[in-house]
Amino acid sequence: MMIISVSGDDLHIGVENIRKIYENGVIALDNVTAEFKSGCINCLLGENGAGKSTLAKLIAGVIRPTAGKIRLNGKEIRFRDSQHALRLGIGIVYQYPTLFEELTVLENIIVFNNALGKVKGFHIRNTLEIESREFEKFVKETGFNIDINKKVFSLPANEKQLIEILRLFYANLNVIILDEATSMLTPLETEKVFKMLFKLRDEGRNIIYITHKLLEVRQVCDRVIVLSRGRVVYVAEEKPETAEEMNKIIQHMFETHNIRKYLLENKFTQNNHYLRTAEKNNAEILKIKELYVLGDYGELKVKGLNLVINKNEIVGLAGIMGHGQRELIEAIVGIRKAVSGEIFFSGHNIVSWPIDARLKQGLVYIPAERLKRAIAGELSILEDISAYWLNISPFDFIKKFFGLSLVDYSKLRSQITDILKRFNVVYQGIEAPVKHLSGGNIQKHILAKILGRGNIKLIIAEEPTAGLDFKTTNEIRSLLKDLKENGTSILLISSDLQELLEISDRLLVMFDGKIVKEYANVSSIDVVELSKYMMGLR
Amino acid sequence: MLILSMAIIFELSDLRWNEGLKLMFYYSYGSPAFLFETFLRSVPLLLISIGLIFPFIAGVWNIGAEGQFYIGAIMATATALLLGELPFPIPLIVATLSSCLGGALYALIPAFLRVKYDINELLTSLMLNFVAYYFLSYLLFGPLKNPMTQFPETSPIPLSSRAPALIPNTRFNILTILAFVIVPITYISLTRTKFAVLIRYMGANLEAALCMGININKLIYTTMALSGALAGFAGAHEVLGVLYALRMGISMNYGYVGIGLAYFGNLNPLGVFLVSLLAAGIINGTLMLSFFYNIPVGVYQVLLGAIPLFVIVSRRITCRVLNKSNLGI
Repeated sequence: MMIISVSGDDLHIGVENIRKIYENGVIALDNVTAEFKSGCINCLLGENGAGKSTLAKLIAGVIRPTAGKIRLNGKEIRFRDSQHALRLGIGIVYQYPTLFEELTVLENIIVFNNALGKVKGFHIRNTLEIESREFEKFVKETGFNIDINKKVFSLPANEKQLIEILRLFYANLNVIILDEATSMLTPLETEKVFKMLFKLRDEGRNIIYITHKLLEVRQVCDRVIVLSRGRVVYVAEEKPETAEEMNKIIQHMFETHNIRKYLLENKFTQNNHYLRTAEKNNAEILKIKELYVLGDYGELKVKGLNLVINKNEIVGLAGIMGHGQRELIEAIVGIRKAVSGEIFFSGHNIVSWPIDARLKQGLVYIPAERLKRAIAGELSILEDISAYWLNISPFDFIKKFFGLSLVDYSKLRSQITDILKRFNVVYQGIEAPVKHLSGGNIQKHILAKILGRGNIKLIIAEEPTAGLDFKTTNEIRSLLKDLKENGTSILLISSDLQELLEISDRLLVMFDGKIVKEYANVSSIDVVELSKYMMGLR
Repeated sequence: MLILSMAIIFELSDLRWNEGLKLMFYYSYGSPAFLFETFLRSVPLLLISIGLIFPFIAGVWNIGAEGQFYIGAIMATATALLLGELPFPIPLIVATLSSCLGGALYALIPAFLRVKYDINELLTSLMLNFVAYYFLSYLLFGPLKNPMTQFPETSPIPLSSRAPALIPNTRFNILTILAFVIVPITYISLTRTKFAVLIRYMGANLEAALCMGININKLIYTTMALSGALAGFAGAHEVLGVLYALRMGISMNYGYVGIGLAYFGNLNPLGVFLVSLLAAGIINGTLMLSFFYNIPVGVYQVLLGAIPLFVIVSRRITCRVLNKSNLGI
């Protein structure tokens, strides 16, 4: 194993007057000067589109700056590519997994080590064995249970992310960048990762931590750098301890917006959101009886599950990823076939209905994988929304023209512009591709698309706020609550416990394909006990 | 560029390049008679590639237009020979319709396999081309062989089902007109219908289309059937309007060339129309040249193969000149 010397002040990273202008003309970073100190967890904060990820990628050598300098140990460096940066001891983990899905975990590690320059020559078999022993030992020491001989695509998202983090820790790098890398992890896993981070920090390494979760800032960060619209707006050299200091950071993050409103009802300092009583209304909107569903590889994932969702309530579904939540959702929505069991939706047994029939009945799905499952990024905003609307309510937008039924684009256009305004989507033009929107706006665009046409009885919301900034998250949560008040039921699947506790009326815990615990009253939940149910310890 | 390469090829084949180009142009578009022949030649290419636009936009890979073309031609011939006794317009109409139906049903086989068993339609449709080809060969050497001549071709199509020529002394007929009418119809259906919006969505992101509740299976069936029907119609046009008999060499790889043309026409009916005229011109020009001057027939294949190259290169250059990079190549 290559050993990189770790010593005190040598691992400073400084960026000087960095500018980054993307090919499409977006100015992501504008004259940014900042220091990332070693022996510290440097926290990079900012809302969506503030330029955090761009800065991280620049430091990791993934992209090149338009102007400005990056210094490592006070010496200016120009990265040829990310491999160059990696060999200099700078590694990055992204929000979304970047592993090779068709390879096993072990093979991924070998490829990574090869990029590091560790594995030499063609002695694949030999290195395979050595690496497997070493990495497996390392994983065991950390206390995680990951089968390194499994192919990556068969793993749940949190394990994929964990592997990326662990391989970076394993590689003994000097600079570790985590770009919202804990977004998919369960609370316990996050806890362990933090402990490892603290250990690495105490060894004097330079850690750059990017997050949206303000709670985490308090937990891990030693220094805070706040970016807003491509500029550094605030640097806190000390760990923010008090609520005032936190509020100051929040204020800086959103200084370009009218943030006062959000501070007034700031959930951060008040804890009254736990005091929520469930209004009981016995009209069942969804009832699942003895449902069995297979996973991607023919294994039984949902094992005889029963579930009831009433009218006018938000039901939270907690659980560690990979315990059948995905298969359950897909069976309800109609993407996956159920092996046996019944699904009643407002009185009909929909178990054999095609997805479009369920949709027209008012059962909608907000997927977690937005880019993959909810939008066609290449198409324009107009096309993306019209396809959905035309599909569910074809006759509203069809005009007869010499006996031909043609699409009435002017009506569609005006209604779509209307709805985008109502959902506060910031966009360049209705003809611009959806993929050019920023992360938060993509999610708002999706919500506008799905919720924009009435007649919705049940929303299956899967991670509706993951990876979004504070402001958008709040907007979406209050939107969901509003919808509930207006008679829509919501099944909320989230890995963010905070969110589940905040907005759901009833909380279900899923473990190993079954509901193992139901909390009728969210206000009385003991989080430790909840975690134990999630882990299957109870 | 295309012209330059033509010039080089002519020079290589013992012909003065300027002379060759002139003749080439003359034989393809130069005189009314040749022009009509080129139009006629473009029809099967046009129909096949216009049909392929639909599945290609939806990301459904129909490589089987060749086979669907054969089946359409077989259906047209069989129906025409069967109903030959009936008065004039009926056999023609029935034969045309049955060819569309035959092509569509033949295209539905790979669609069905894709929907039901998730078998890649690219492979199945390609393989079915050979099935259709050898089925045709069996028919021509067996049941449909011309009893008078014993050549491997069918008896001439009875007059009652021949498409009447509209312009005297040419084979420019009523089916040809119908084929050209399809261009604007396709254009409208691709810009102004719900169907077009849905297939575009499906082509742009299949998984999202599935998750957003678009009935993908229905779209696979529809697009495949549409392209099959148009390929079948192309077969009917060749049999009923041009050759008046069914032979082995009825398709000059139209089904495969059509795949290329659909793309070089940018999956746009108007573009496809122009490109298929160009291709037809090249085919006719080189065929005539090789007939009169000692040039290998294969030249047209070289030139046709060269079109994609030149289209892509020239588009690149235009892009660079216009300083835009929005074409994604």
